[in-house]
Amino acid sequence: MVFFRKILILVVLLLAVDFLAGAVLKHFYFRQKSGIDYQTIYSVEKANEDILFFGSSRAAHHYVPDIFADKYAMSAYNTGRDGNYILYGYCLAKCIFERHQPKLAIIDVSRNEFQRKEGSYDYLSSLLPFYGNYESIRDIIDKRSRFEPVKLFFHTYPYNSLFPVIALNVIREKSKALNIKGYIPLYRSIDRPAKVISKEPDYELDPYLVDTFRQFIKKCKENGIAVAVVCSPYFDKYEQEDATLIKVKEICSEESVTFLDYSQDARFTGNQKKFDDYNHLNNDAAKEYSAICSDTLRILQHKIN
Amino acid sequence: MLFNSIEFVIFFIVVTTLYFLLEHKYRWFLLLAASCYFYMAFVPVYILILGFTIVIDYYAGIIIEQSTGKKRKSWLIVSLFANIGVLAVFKYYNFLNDNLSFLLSRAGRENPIPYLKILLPIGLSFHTFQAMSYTIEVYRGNQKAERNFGIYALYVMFYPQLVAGPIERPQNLLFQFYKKHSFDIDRIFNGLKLMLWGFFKKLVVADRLATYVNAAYNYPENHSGLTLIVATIFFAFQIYCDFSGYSDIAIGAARVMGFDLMKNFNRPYFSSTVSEFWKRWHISLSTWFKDYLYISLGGNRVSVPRIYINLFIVFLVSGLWHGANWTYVIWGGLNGLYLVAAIMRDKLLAKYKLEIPGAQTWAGKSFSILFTFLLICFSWIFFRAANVDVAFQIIRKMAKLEGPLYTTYPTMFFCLLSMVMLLVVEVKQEYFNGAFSFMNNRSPVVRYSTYLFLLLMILLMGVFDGGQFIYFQF
Repeated sequence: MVFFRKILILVVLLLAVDFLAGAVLKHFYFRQKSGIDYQTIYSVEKANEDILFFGSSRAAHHYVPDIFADKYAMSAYNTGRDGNYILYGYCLAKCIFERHQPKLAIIDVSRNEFQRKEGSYDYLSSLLPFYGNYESIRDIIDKRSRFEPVKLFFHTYPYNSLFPVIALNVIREKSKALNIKGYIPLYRSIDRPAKVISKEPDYELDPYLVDTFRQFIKKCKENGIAVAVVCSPYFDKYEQEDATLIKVKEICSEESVTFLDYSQDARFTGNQKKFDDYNHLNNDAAKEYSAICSDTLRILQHKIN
Repeated sequence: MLFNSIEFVIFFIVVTTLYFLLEHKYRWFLLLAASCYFYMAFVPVYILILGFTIVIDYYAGIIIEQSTGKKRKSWLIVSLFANIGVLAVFKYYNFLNDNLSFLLSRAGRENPIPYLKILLPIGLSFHTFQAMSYTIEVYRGNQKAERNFGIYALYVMFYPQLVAGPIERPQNLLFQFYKKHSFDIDRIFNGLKLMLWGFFKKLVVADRLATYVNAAYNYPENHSGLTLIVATIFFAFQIYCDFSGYSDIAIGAARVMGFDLMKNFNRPYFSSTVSEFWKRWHISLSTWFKDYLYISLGGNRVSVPRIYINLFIVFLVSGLWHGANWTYVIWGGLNGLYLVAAIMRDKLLAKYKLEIPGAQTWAGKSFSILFTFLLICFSWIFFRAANVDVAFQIIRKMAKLEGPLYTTYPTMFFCLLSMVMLLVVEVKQEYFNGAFSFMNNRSPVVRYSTYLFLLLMILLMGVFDGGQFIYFQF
């Protein structure tokens, strides 16, 4: 009996401390004024722009909303986030579409994005604080691990590893990145020449990721939102077509959605002055790319409004 | 099944509860079944390999005990051959083939021997060494051969230490399976506290440091010398907390059920010599090599140059034990060289009756600890680098010390905070052991606050998506 009493006391105390700490963290998490999490909070809870960009860091660094806004005479916001891919974008879209339907959704896809690999759903941790309030994304977040709902029983778990960031972003004012509507500019030039990659290892596609991509497009169409899929430029030259991009092209064709593949565009690929690193355009090139991309996408304009 | 998973927490609670509910005579069977399940959670079919060596060693033990002379020796050789053979096939075959391919390519020829497409069974080196210690001890007459096949299988497969040690000796573990363990609250809490500290070391310190170390070591060409130095120091703490964290969880889990496993780590980074480091680091392996290889090579009874050679051999083999890669061989060789150099220095000092000035002062001892730590850190470069070329590339970059330090605010914050918390505890244990105790304080307020603090730190700072333990691959 003594043993069970001791264990019970410890469990009750732990749950109480976890509840309190979780409540404090939740309070401050949603009061952040800057930082990458603020952008997610803004995207999920406030974004009401006409054009929304979805994708990873390549989206966040490649699409300048102001340029699109000028071309279309509409408002625009970039929801792209470092290290977050199709599942993140689809979750954001589900949350946003519950309260707001943009006119155009632009989904940026990356090479290898649908590759089946261990831990490839881990990045969904960035959406754990929204698990409680948005039922529609729970089934996707649950894919992180078999015991995700068990872990989420603890109130501090969604804020794991976040407390120093939350503390800083509660104090720190809005970042420069936020002032340009989710677009995060990069300013360096890469210091190595481009590689010519003749063959990459074959990989297996993750059917869940492929299906999510298809659902994402369907969701946009169901909500009357024009959708375009784009692969932005890469620095290195790939001589072989990527399995993910082949699949994207196939699905876009089936769903009658525009797919623009700039991944090997000669105006960018291989140009050291235009890339910050091998994956990301720098600010000048991002502006140039956004202008080109927005011009091309104007063919969609008849579908908008 | 990983210790740092929800699956293990459920498994541990279920197995421990059943263990105490069952009658003593059925407990070994429960533990054996649980251990099989635990092992099969990785790659189920590999249990057949384990089964193969268990059967051979079980019968070898009985035959060795019953026979004399050549037969006795030949059955020891059969047992060793089976165990080392399994290691050779699964761990070293492709490595040897790689080297053969390299040599043949130098001569302009192709290697006709095919590669094996097999995964290394988890913890193979650990349970193989534990099995070998059994037949060697039976051969030496220090251990009676085990007649109960199930108990012998459990000795090799006991789940807390099956995949990453501590590598037990039969004299310490086998008899414990026959002992009736009562439901002892103090012992259970003792074990749970050790497990809690192990989880803290693994999830909060090791896996947190791993984020920085992996970023630097996986792409050393993108990082400065300063970053690589910091990453190497972080790796020293990462591997310590990863492995000693595993050992703490293993020893704690066994203790909850009433088993005493040997201590595997004793705050190794407070060692003032490399020799002392090896008495504090992975103790169960160091003593295994001392008992079964170093002594077999002649121990300290041979000439001084032979002692040096033997030590060097032991460390080379120890390096190879860790992995089939030249990086591990160099790592072992470096540690062997450190040790030989230290012995030579001590002999010279003794011969000429010299003393290092200030060696016994506080500053002198601190310097020795720091110097030993740096030597060990240097050897860790080879342990962590993907291959020998990368290791030398890292060393060249470190020597130049050019470029900025890679830092991201939360990563660096968590790395430093976790290391500070670890050091506070370790310094207290090393130098102020009789002083204030947190986990064992007489005041329940302090005790429970400490448990809650550690649990909260695990929830707030623990890396839950972290990978497996580094030593599983060995």
